[in-house]
This record gives sequence, C-alpha cells and structure tokens, in this order.
Amino acid sequence: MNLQLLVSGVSTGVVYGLIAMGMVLIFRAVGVMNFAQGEFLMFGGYLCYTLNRLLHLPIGLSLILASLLMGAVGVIFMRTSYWPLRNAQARAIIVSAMGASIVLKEGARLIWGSIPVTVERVVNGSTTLAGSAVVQWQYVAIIVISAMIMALVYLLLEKTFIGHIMQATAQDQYMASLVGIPVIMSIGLTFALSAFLTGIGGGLLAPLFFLNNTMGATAGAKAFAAIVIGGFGSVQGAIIGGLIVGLVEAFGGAYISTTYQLVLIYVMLVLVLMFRPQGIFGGKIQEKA
Amino acid sequence: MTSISNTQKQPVLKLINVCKRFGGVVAANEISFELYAGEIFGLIGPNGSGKTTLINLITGIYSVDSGSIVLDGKNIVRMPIHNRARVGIVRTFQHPRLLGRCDIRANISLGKDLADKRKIPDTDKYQERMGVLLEAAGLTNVDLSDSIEKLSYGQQKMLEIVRALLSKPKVLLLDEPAAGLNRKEMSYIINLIDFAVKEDICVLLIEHAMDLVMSICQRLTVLNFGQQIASGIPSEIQENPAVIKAYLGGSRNAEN
Repeated sequence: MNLQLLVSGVSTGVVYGLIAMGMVLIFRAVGVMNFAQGEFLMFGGYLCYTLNRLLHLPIGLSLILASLLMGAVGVIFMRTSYWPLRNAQARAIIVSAMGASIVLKEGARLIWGSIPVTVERVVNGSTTLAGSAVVQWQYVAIIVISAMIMALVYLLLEKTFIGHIMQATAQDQYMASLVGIPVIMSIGLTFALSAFLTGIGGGLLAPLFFLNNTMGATAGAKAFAAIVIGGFGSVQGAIIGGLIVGLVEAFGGAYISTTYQLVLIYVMLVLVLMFRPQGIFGGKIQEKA
Repeated sequence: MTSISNTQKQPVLKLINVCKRFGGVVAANEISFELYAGEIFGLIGPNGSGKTTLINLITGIYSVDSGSIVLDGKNIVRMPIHNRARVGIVRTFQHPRLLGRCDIRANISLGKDLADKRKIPDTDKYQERMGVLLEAAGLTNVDLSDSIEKLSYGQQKMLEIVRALLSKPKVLLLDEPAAGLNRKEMSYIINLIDFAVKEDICVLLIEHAMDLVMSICQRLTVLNFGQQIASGIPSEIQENPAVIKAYLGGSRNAEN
C-alpha cells in the first residue's frame, strides 16, 4: 500500500517538477513568473491527444512530436506575450501572461471541446511488488522519462554552448548582448525549452488524470507551490519541491482526505513560508539586477 | 607608445555629427571624432556631460537621433547590439558587470565565445593569450573555478577588460577603468591598455583620473552638457581656458 502511494506520489511529483523547472527557467531568464505555465501542460496534453487519438500515431512518437510542437508554442508565446513588453514593468508582463493563459484555455475549448479526453499509456499493465503493492507501469514510465529529461536539460544548461548563452542572458541580458549574444534568440530558446518540458508532462499525465481545458490552473498552482518550497529560482529546488508536493498529495489523499489534497499542499506552503521563507535550496532570496 | 601620423591612416571608428536627446536634455550634440588603430583616445568631461551616453550610442544600447557611426567605412547605426559586438566593438562598465552565478572561467570564456563568433583565425592560441592577459592583469594567482564574489572590486574590473580583449576587438571602450582602484591595480590597467595598443586595437578611454588620461592618451576630446568643447593633444587641452573653466576647475583632479 505504502509503496503504491510512494510510486504514484513520485510520478506526479516529477511531472510537477517538470512544470516547476519550466517556470524557473523563464523566471531566471526574464525575472517574472510565467502565470501561463500550467496552460502549457494542458496544451501539450491536447497536442499529444490530437496526434495519438485523432491522427492515430503511436504514443511514443506523439509525445515527442507534441513536446517539440510545444517548443514552437513557447516561442510564439514569448514573441507575442513577453517580447513586446520586455522593457515594461513586471506587472504588465504578469497580466499579459494571464491574458495568454485565458487565450490558451479558451482556445483549447474551441478546438477540442470541454469533454475530458485521454491518450494511450506509454506502457500498459501493472505489477505487484512486495506482496500487495500494485504498481502501474505508466507511473514507472513517467518517473523514468521525466528523470531522463531532467538529466538532459541539466546537461544542456551546464555543458553546451546554447546552455551557456541561455545562462548568460538570464543573468544579464544587456551584458550578454554586448558579448555578441542575440538576446531574442536566447530568450526564445528558453521559452521553447520551458514549454517543451511542461508540455511533455501533459502527455504523460493524460492517461491517469484525463485532459480538460481548465486543468492548467491547478497544475500551475501546484508547480508554483513546488518552486516556493524548493527555493525560488533554483532548478534543483523546483524538482525537489515538485516531488514533495506530489508525495504530500498522494499520502495526504490516502490517509487524510482526497477532498483536502490541495489544502494540505497549501498548508505546507504556508509552513515553509513561515519557517524557511527562502525554501529548501534558496540560500538567499535572489533579486534580479 | 609612439605617436601616429593620422593623415596617412583610415580611421577605424568614426563618429559624424552624432546627436541624441532625452526629452529636453541634449546628451550628445553634433559629436564628431575619429579613432585610429592602436590609438588611445580620451573622452573627458564633468559628470553628466554625456560620456557614457556616447558609449551607449556606439554599442547600440541607445539609437542615435541623427548622425552616423562608421566602423571600417560601414555605417553601423542600424546594427543591433549583439552584431556590433560581433564586428568588434566591446566595452567595459564603470561598475563591473560579470555573471555572478558563474565561475571566473565561464565569465572569461564569454570573450572566447565572442572571438569564435567573430571568426578570429588564431583563437587556437587562446590559452596562451589568456595566460598573457591574466598576467598583465595581475590575476595569475586566481583560481579560475572560484566564483566571481571571491574577486576584489579591482580584480573584477580587470577581468572585464581581459574578457573584452580576449575577443580581439577592433574598438575597446573603457568606462572609467581606474575609478576605485589603488596604485597597484592602476598599473595593471595600464598593462592591459598597452596590450590593446600592441594589438592595434583602438581604445576609447573615459576617465576622471586626469594624471592617467593626460599621460597615456594621444588625443582627447572634452564634453560638457553634450557639447564637444575642445579636442586636441593633452598639452593643448590642459591649457584650454574653456576646459579649465568647465571641468578642471584649476585642479588636476577635479572630480576626486
């Protein structure tokens, strides 16, 4: 029983981690939280549904294509909702992202309707572990795929030229341009990567939770909680925070009440803010110069 | 440093009647001057006279209202910032701007990345060149995997110049490199400027330390309220009554 909860908690947790990572990448690049990040999850899920259920492509290929398409959505999102306001105050960018989230949400309703849909599982079936724990292979697949993506993103950011460009731009756009880095390209890549990460989560979660056009808000809120718990602006923090949120949700739902799952997450958020406001990995609150 | 006969050479960078206003404030009014390869050109003037604005116009942070900025015969006023860096215009800041979340090596390598983008052929000698530059900057004892915060203010300023020079620029714009530095660090700055001159880079030096400006610049121009009030060789500038009135105020170190 416990093992079963652990696996499902970790698997939703890593997806929250992916969303949170996407949010942190954008936050570090432009200094503003992206309040449409949850909609990237929903939209990625629907793209995967379109490829898998409407165009009958295999699920693996659908996931890859959907997440790549999400990269393009990320660039369009950046160009339309962030770039024209890049020199404006942060609150203008936040409101613009909220507007974009409504466009994505209602756009999805127009395209795909409001009846919940689902996609195929990556792996079917389940196994019984330790006597009584029934573990569905889809959960295991989510954990493995997400962990691989996280590792790849880490390598991309730390070891590649593109990653260095993105990091330099995130730290000082003006200085980056003065050493020859085209800022629009670098920020576009960041948004693309962020939407890619979050979008693939939508396709992975869809077989377990069903897709609907309003799922983004809750997912975004949970990812936001994960970021605060993990430490604002920290990529590792986003992953650990995501795992904690996923585990609290799974165990709280089982032992306390499924009705109060979200409440439990927010109670934990409040506790973290009271006793360790910088989060787990936040050494200090990072202020963008 | 040898003096150059400017008449035979083509200027590397040329400003022609550059104008910029911010609302009612004229930050640059019909500014014109030329920079030649291997020359140190001084830009002085009281605070708020428009020196840093000129650097921002040359690097592309601000766009000019009118006039041209010509690099190697090509007008670059419409070129975006990162392309101006790629054609060889680099600058440093009054207060060093380095990547605080990266280590020293990563910060320096931005200069190499720029050199690669500029397709400078002999970047394979990068290690050697970096060694020479770090020695000139007095940074040989620094552990390159340390974070930027481990460096003193002066060392950070030096690192910025090293990064700029690693990209083998055509024009190096130095915004008050000596401000806040001690004597020893000042000598490193002079080493680095010497290095630039040997590589035929033209150096535009904004500086308040008059003894430094007067001793190393071949020519200079003086700004006051966005106007060019005098241009010429250091000895002429020092005698110029308008300059003395506007800036020097009778003292050789008016700002300090």
